[in-house]
Amino acid sequence: MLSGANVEYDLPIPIKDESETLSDIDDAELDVYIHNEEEKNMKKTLWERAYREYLEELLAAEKAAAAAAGIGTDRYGPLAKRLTKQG
Amino acid sequence: MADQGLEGSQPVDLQKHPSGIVPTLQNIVSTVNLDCKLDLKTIALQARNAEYNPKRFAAVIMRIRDPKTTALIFASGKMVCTGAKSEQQSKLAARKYARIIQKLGFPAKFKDFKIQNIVGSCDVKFPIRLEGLAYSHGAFSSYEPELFPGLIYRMKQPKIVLLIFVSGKIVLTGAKVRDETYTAFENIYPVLTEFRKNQQ
Repeated sequence: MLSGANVEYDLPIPIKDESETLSDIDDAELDVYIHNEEEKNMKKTLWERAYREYLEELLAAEKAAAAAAGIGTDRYGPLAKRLTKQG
Repeated sequence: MADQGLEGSQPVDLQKHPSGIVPTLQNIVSTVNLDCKLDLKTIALQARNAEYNPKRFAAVIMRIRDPKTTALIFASGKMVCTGAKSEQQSKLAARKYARIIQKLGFPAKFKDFKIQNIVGSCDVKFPIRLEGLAYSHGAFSSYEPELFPGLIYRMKQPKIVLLIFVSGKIVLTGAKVRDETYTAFENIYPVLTEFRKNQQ
């Protein structure tokens, strides 16, 4: 064993390349990091208000891409609909 | 700085650390591939511990308390984890972030985890003549005290960059495995003692 508070190993941890299950992670500990439905909706409203300009830029980019591709204007996605509703 | 060397709670393995000093690991940067595309807005809106400012930076920034770390999560599914103090803690933290992403509804995997950088530091506890060291090891040294007070030493083997300060504080960065940090320090230690500044 080595001295020093942060020294935990004599050898580097072997690195596995394989995908691995994360089932041993304690879910209860992580639940505190995830919003409930009400919190999520509030955050969504706030976020979309704060980034309205960014979202409008995305919409303009979508329109430009659609026009360049010759796609009709009725194909805009949910983003366009949501912004249009907001007026 | 915590006590180092012989004053520590555990005896130093002098075969591995003949200087008697073991650098403390201060920061580990690791990467992992979650192997699925991510909707960053969804993540940012559902995770309490996430920030996402797409005009400033194209990744979600997520933090957890234990191990205390910060992750950068990209739409490509690539993730960077910083701030851990050991390799195992870095991997544990990365797995927790991956699990959070899974709980938000994404089919995240955990592929190709890799330690990208290890930063270590220690204190030799004697002052060092940086000018003399820089002159004597000019091929490896960069010392411009008007720009930065430390001497930047680019060791070739192992390929580690050391910051050497007149106080005797040393920072070592660029390691992929901790033994590179330890070896680099043992390599530089005789040089530091050679250029020890004698107090009068």
